[in-house]
Amino acid sequence: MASLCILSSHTPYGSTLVRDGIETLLVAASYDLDTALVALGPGILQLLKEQAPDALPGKNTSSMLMALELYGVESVYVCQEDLHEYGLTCEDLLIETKAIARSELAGLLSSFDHVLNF
Amino acid sequence: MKYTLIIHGSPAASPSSQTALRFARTALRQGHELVRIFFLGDGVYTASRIAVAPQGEQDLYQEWRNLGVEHGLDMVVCISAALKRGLLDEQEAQRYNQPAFTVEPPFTVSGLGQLVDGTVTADRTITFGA
Repeated sequence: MASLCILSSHTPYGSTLVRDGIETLLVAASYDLDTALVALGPGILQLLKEQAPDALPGKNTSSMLMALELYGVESVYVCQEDLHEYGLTCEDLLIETKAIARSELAGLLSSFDHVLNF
Repeated sequence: MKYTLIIHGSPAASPSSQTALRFARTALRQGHELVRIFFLGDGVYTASRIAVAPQGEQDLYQEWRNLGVEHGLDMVVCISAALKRGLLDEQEAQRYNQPAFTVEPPFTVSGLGQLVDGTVTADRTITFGA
């Protein structure tokens, strides 16, 4: 089975990139690909608990994240350095997330057959 | 090598589409294969058949169109990004009862499945950001 990773490095509501990334992830998972999400930099904000973007025109992307497990996307990664920079821990995140060191990122990304940037 | 290209940027406001066009031409000239060109987000504006390029500026629509026709390229605009930006092919214009269609071959309107399929089929997928 081919593996595909979505690398998501933008804020959730500043553009549609986060939403496009999650939608692509869900489509890839439904094609039976081995899929993972890597949220980097401001991208980790999409994983925060208790988002309330209902006044904004876009979709609440955090509710889409709840579907990841249902679609078989089990691996979600962030960098410890990013969590630290935003004053967060994995406890603040909506879904189960693995925190890796920035130095492990290149190794992780090279383990996937395909990486798509959003 | 087989490439799939993903274009996020607006042709009017970002170098994304233009850079991708130059990459596509060079790849073809060097004998590579383009599996699919996928236009996403504001990148879908590249496929607008009614866009008018200002005098003296590059007409990206015509250049992509000519390249697509010449090489039989598979050029797909993301349907969810396209519909809300008024980019509809003839079939979608009829479906939504709109007065005109703004996308025609060699561009086609389709879903993210084409992006995933193009990525998996290609040896390399190159993203041209917003």
